[in-house]
Amino acid sequence: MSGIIYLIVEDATDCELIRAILSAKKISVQVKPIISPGKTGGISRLSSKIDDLIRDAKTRLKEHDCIAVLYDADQHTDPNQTHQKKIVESCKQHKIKHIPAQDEVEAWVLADSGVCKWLNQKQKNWDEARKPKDTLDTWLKNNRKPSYYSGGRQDVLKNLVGDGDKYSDSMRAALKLLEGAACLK
Amino acid sequence: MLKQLRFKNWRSLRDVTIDLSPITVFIGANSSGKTNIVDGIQFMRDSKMRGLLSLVSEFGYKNIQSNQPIEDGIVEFEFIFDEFFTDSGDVTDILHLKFDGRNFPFRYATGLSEGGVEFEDINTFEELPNKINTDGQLAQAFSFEEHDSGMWEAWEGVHEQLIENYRYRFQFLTENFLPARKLTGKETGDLYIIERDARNMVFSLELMQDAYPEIFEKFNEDAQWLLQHVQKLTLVRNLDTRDIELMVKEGNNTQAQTISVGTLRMFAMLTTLHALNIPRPLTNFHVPPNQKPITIPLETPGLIVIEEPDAALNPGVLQKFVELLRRYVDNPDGTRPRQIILTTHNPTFLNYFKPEEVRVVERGEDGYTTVSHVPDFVKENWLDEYALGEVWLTNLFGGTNS
Repeated sequence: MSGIIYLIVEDATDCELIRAILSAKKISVQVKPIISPGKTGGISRLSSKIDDLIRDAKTRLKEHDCIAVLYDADQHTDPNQTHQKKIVESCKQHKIKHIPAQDEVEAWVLADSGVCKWLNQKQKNWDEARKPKDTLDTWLKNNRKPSYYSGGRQDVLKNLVGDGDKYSDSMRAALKLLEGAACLK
Repeated sequence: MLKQLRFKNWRSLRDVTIDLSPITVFIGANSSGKTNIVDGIQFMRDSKMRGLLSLVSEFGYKNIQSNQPIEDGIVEFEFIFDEFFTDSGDVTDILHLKFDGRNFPFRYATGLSEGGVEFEDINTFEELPNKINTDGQLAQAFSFEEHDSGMWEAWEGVHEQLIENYRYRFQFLTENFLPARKLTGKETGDLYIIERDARNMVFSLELMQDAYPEIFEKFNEDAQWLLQHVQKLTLVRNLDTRDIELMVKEGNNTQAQTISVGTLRMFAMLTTLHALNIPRPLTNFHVPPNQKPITIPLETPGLIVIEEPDAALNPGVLQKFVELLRRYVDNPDGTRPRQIILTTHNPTFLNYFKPEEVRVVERGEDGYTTVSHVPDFVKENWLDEYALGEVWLTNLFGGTNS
């Protein structure tokens, strides 16, 4: 019997994306977001509140449920990785799985054959690319689709087939982590 | 105060106990069961006013029972009141409905207990009379003449007072309420209790204006304070057609040509607050000729239930509205105190409440609703830095659509 993954994220849209990928891969599990509070700040906000979020998310856990933290690695924009290091440290301390997306979680979407076919692109690994979100937006614009930032995201999620892990190492690592989690057993 | 609600097998509420505060705000995702709670309170109220048969017919018996077939087939309501009666302990009002399968006819049982003493055997089910009695099926079901002990006399008093409270002290406004600005002379409506859609608001306001100017003045004061553009409300009745219309004089001393949805809804909410201050003639229900009619004590709270009060209103107005509600709940000016039950989806609105006033409504995978308090960690760990609505959106304590 599968449980619930409480996925601690910067933004609810990240959780939606993970839900769509797992659903496309026919992995039956509920994913509920725990979203870092406040309106701005992204990863810095998440890292500053990560201990509180993990501790309080634990109060929601029932049998078969688990917690994971998903965050953008931002390896290009933040070479010092201060916030990421803090998140990793906290996750280790609380024995929580942490899932870095290289460099943003949208890299996994760019590597998806369904999305690539729909937007006339060749499937490849985008883990090392800068700002995959912007790349996805450009693809959409080139195909005269609504912007990723204004309504296009829903169409992108519909076209996912969930095979980005064939090319994306970070997605493959993330799925491996999740497969080992109690909520998927 | 209505202190606690218990629902069993009522729609999505399989077995749920809910503690209430002077102000209680239910938050939850769409279809989580908030409306089922509100409808449950109204069902109990209406069972005292209209008769069970017509009530069950209106709701539809399939819409009363749990989503899934019930083992024992009993739908249960248990409401605990406190401070209604100055020299009494908590009073529990009980209504059980027993369906034979899912079809009419069903049977019912009622009960009342005070300070742990039960006045009726709740396990004895009566057949529901097959005629609709407009005076109230439940009222008819009680037969006090059969009992002459002191206990039964006491129960009779408690029961009558309870019915009066349900009938005259409970106000409901549902999610889509929007009062009519104008009603024709042919239309009728209650003067004291605002209907769920607020259609009859103008009748109540007209009564205040014509017979209770001090209440109407207070209403106008509150309206001006909340809505800066409003200067004065007036109810105008055409003496030929008997049509009645709400006129609003605005700050620049002109009559408003149109009244916005948000403004009309705010007027409706204020009307529920003020209508409870109108002295109303009480019924002589079960009162022997040589005794005075039982009256509701002035300190008896009124219960106001409003679904989505924040719809169509500016956040600044909402903050003032909550301040106003607190004033009526705290009762500083000697008016009858109010108990307030609200539902919302709005994190900004939620910011104006205390965590202990909030109940989180969630629907599980099994389709059943659970209701919980905001966990202590919210106050301890988050509220120094973030507002309650912001913490709610994290999904740390549930009740969101995420």
